[in-house]
Amino acid sequence: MGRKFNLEVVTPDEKFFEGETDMAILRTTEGDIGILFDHEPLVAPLKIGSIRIRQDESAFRWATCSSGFLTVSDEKVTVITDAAEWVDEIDLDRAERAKERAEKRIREGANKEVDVLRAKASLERATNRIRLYSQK
Amino acid sequence: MAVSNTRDIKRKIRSVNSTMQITKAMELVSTAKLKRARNRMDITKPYFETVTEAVKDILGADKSIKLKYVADKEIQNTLYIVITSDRGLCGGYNINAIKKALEDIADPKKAKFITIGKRATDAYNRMNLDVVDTFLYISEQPEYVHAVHIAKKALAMFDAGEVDAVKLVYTNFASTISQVPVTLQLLPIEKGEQVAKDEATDFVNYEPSPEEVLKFVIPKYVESTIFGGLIESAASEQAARRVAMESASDNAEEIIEELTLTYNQARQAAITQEITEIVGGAEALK
Repeated sequence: MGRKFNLEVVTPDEKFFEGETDMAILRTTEGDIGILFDHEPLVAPLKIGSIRIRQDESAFRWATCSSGFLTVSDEKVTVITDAAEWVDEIDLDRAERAKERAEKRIREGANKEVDVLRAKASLERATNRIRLYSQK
Repeated sequence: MAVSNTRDIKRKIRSVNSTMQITKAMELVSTAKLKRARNRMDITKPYFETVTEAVKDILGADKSIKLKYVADKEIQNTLYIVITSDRGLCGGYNINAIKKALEDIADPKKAKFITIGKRATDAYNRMNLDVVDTFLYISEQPEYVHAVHIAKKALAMFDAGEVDAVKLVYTNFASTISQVPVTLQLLPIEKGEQVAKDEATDFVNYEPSPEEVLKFVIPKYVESTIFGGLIESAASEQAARRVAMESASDNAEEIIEELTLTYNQARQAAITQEITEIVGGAEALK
């Protein structure tokens, strides 16, 4: 059990997580990084992926994470993201529906004036949710 | 008061009374909405503050960053994002924000506008100003996606070079009785006072590079600032409406009081006159 540090996960709608942890794993645009106590100061963008937070001796708590960024300073680690959700709170039906919708949009993308980039991002978010849910 | 006919006065009292009922109801509604909007503001504030802080930190820590978002070239065309409400009856809330933006403009022909809310849209259209985009019916309950759309539009214009500055005009929620319109420069980002600090700032690692991180963080910053502005304006709108409705109700009460007095006087005068007439008539019969 390593030493603990303060972690804060903020989304526009709520303060998703605030508390102590001894390890967190996040997916940045450069790949997964694990953060332990006394990590060097860092700023990095996050990809759509997962947040893993270890509290106490127990296993990691998984949460989905939409794009955002991460800052590590001396005092604490802050994760800023558009949306975060604990894995056990994922609404699978909703994710499936979002996936279908996004796929349809991408298929029709060329002829209709749809924002393909946006549809792709939404597809990525949906698949991410489904993937994490099935891993649970 | 000019009206002396008792029936006219009565009718007037009734009309003022029904108006008062409306203003009272609206006051209650906006009190409830204000409470909700304030809760929302409390929830979203941490996000807004953290993003702003992070951007300031990055820009302050690293002076070598050269990016068009922080360039200090001369500003020619400015895009104003003005947040107002869709509905009126909220005192000076809308007009103050609209005026605030106009105050800032040196040459109205070069200014472009993105308006949020019907009030600003109508006002600027009437003045024949260049309104490039409008967002209606979102000001009361703004969502983050709205801010994303607005930010996207603004950033696209900035990237394309159509404008070289983006300013946000929103209403700062100082307290329930005081709301102040504020102009905030979103882009290019001012480097701020942090530069003046001594060199001893910590070495911060940027993955993959400071420029890449900023390219990602700045749009976020714009989004979150717009979102913060929307949320705060929504709370201000309700607060302004509550105050306006409260004073309208108070005023109506005063008018009713005055009218009732006049009514009673007129009634008394009529009775007195009737009695005098009767007495006079009886006297004449003797």
